Amino acid sequence: MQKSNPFGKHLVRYGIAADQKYLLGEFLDAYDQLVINASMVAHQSAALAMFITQRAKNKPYFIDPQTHAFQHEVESLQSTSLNSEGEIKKSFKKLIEQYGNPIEEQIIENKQSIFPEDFLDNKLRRGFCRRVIRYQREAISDHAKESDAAPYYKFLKEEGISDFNSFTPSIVVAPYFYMESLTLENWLDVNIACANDSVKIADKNGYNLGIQIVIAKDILFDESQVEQLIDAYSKVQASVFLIWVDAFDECSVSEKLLEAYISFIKGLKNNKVPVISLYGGYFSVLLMHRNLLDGITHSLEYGEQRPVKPVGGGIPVAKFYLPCLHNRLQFRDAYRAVLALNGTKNKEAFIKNICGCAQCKKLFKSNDVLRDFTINYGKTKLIKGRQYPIPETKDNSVRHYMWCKSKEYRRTTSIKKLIEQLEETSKNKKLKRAVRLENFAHCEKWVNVLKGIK
Amino acid sequence: MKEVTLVNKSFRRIRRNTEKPVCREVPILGRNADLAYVDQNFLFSVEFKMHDWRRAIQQARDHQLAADYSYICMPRRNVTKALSDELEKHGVGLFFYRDKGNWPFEIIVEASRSFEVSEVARSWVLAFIHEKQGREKCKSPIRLENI
Repeated sequence: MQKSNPFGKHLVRYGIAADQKYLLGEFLDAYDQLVINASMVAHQSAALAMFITQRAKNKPYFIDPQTHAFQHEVESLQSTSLNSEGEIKKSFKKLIEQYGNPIEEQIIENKQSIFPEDFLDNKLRRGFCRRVIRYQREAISDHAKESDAAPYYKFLKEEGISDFNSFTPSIVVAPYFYMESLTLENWLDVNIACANDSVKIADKNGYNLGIQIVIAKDILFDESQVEQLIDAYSKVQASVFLIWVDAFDECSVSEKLLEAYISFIKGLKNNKVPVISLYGGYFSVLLMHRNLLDGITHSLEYGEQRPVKPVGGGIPVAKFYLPCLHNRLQFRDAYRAVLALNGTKNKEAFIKNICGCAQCKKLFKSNDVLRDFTINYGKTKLIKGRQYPIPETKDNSVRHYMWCKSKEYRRTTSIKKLIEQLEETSKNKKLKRAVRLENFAHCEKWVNVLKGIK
Repeated sequence: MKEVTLVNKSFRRIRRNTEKPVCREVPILGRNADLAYVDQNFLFSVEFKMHDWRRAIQQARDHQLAADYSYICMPRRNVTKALSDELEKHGVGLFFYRDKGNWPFEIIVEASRSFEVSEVARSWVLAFIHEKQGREKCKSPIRLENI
């Protein structure tokens, strides 16, 4: 029997402080759990403590310890701002202090990234795992204890209603490092050793332990490497596997790669341990409906896939999430899709044929659908010759996206019906011409792959 | 000659020799048209390319969401069947750049009137053109909306 999933199905990655408004209020019930990067916790732990404990009403969360950040070029951790150019960014500096050696010695003293051999010393490695786990357990709860609201929490504890322990993460994640085909042999042993060390720490303290597996796409193409991975991880006593394939864009990768991804997930699932995708879109949601994945994480609008490098950063671009394609489109493509899907006649036609989410219902005030659509989702401003969405456009796009995602995760329609819907979309030639093949071809590809799952 | 030179020369000649409101680097729903002008209350967009006409047509197609007529402009060249078919398929027009005379464009293939125009996007482009050149607002068949 599979272990229970300590997460819920719908995980959202907390990116920046400005994301908070899409995780609170009306959206608080739209997702199950938060994933927060350790660098963000280090950067604003007090604010995050306040956010989690008070504003997000103790929403379950866990921290991605981002230990892979220290295996890439040190330059990727360095600040580029004028005043501190070349120095390690403050947030990573804090993390390094907390995680200690071997990272501290290599990054700070030797100014070089870490290598697998830095973890050969068992005692050193165990200490490192202990500190990484301790940081996740304490970073936010410690700040909650120190916050202005501490007396309130003390009162709740005395009343037996809640205590500071409720601010601790739902799971802790073992230190992990990124593996490519070329470096699998080098890093796999370190990853497994860190995982086993962490299992002991988690067992001793009664923590749920997440084992994060971060790999390059090229590994998926190599059956023997996939077997090697699955074989190695099947011996680890994890509470949950967290998987992240570098820059795995479900819409653009080949059918072969999607099939290889499914084989990898199936291999991990043989251990009866829940498998959560740390970045995934609708294809992953369908895999969840097929009981292959147990949960999926996405960021606010722009994070259904992510490259391992650079660590953090990137400018999000507002796009319109077209529910029937389950894909984010440039506004001009979305506009053509609305025309092709007969969504222009009036507000009701838009709601029926394009999207009936709470945000669209709110925004479409007249029957001049194209006007409302363009004003609310297409307005940009020109900055130094480049067009950027105005804040209202971004806000509307994110809210619309969050509602669409919530609906996708909570759908109770059978997988057969969901595949049929996708197949129907894949046959819409008018839509294909409107949005162009590169925004459309994934539908047919997904249908083929999903139908082929045994 | 470079693409940007064609854009600048065309722009200057339209400004100098005509009363038509004209502007470079005009934002159209996420894309920038190299040049846009208003002629007899119709909005025209022009995408300049020295060689890659497929890319130019792709960009010009996106301009059709705001421009009444969308053109690509190239130096004089052979009009192959492939180019001609593609222009016709998408309703995009073709200008050849001409060095002499008051007007910089020679019409080789006439553009079809766009049937995809977003009136709001069109009004934004018109407002941008008027604002940028500091000229008196031109007459527009569509009201400039205050949004």
